[in-house]
Amino acid sequence: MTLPVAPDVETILDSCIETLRDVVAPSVEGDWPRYNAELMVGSLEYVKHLLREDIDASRREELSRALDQVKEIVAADPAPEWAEALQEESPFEAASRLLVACQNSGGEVAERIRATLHPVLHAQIDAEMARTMGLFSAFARNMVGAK
Amino acid sequence: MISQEQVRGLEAHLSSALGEPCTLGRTDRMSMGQSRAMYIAELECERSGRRKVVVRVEQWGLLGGESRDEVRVMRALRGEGLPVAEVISYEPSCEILGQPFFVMEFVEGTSVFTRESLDPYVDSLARLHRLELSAIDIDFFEMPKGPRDSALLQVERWYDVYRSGLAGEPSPLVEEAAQWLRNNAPETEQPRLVHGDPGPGNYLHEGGELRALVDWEFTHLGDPEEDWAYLIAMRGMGVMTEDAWVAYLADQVGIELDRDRLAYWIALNLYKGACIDQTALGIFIRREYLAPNLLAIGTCIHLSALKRLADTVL
Repeated sequence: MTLPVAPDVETILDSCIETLRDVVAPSVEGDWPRYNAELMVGSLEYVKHLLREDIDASRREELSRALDQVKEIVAADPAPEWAEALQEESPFEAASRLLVACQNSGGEVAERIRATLHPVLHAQIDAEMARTMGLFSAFARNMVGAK
Repeated sequence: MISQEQVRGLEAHLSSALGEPCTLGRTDRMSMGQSRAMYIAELECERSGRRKVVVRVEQWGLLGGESRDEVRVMRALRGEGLPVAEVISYEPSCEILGQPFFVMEFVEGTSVFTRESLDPYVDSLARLHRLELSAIDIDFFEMPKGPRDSALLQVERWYDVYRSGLAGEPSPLVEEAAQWLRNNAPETEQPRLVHGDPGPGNYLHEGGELRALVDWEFTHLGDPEEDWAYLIAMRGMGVMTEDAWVAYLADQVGIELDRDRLAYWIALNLYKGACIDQTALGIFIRREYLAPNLLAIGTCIHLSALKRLADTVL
């Protein structure tokens, strides 16, 4: 016999999340086990995001597109630090070297590079923080001493 | 969790350290402390009777700290009369609990913040900063030599932790912030002992009395403003505003904080947080330790520090 329809992963995950959050965590005795149960709820919520999209690939593509714009910006300024940074295969290595060079050189080109890369990197932080909000909330609730 | 085999090993270790046969009773994991696994253990000793101890266990290099200097500085400061728990024993090998650990006396008190506990706490922190280094047995810390080294040594220390614990590729904003901190490092007149993680949650008190300063793993020689910045912008952020903290510290301990310098030290502390939090993700991804708090520290807690850092100085 086969099942007429298999439950999808997200539904099972939602079941786990609701059960952990509403049934298991409130009944757990002891700060450490309860803290872990709450963190597990946040972990499973994060898993749902990771299943929906290839976040690593998206981030890489976004940054690569921004680096293409940087190549146009530095075309008018053939300083070796820009060219060397842009030869890096990894967009994260390239962006790292470019931003370090921007801190050291200053000037209009540096400002334009920063203005191109920063919005992409900040948006990636914001998106990842939204995906991990459940983990953050559980962690913050258990910070002993914090108000 | 501590296994039965580990309990037996710990009993033998403590019996040897205390010089009398001891058996371990109930052992509970504490929820405070992220960098170390902390256990409250009930100990029954043949001659001295029942006592509680705290077992503080390293976690695969999480947050870049190690116990050796923590133990040494705790012993030195207790000798100076500061409220520091007595260290009973230190085990640098991984043979007993799988990680290095040390055992200290349990100190009664709470780490939950109350306003009445603040005055004695900041008095003690100021006292720590005033200690004459030549009079204390702490020659194991690197002494900043140049005027900007109090800052630069910390920038490079945490950069090394971040780079060595990196899981995957570098973070461009961490790299840029590191360079900003190098380029803008302020001078320090006189290096002092710096706690490294001060504020609510890292001291124990009871009935308005300070019982113990805890968590000495980040202690080093540097600029005391680093501690005040951490207190104001990290652990004490929810207690009062930055302006109120600056006024309070001037009134309570006579510290006049320059706001530009304070901004630098706040940035350095945020950078330190972003760097050390990355170690948690590495430990989790390498499956060395699969605790969900490591996933939290390595993702959202790291990003929270990085976002504040980027908003502050980049």
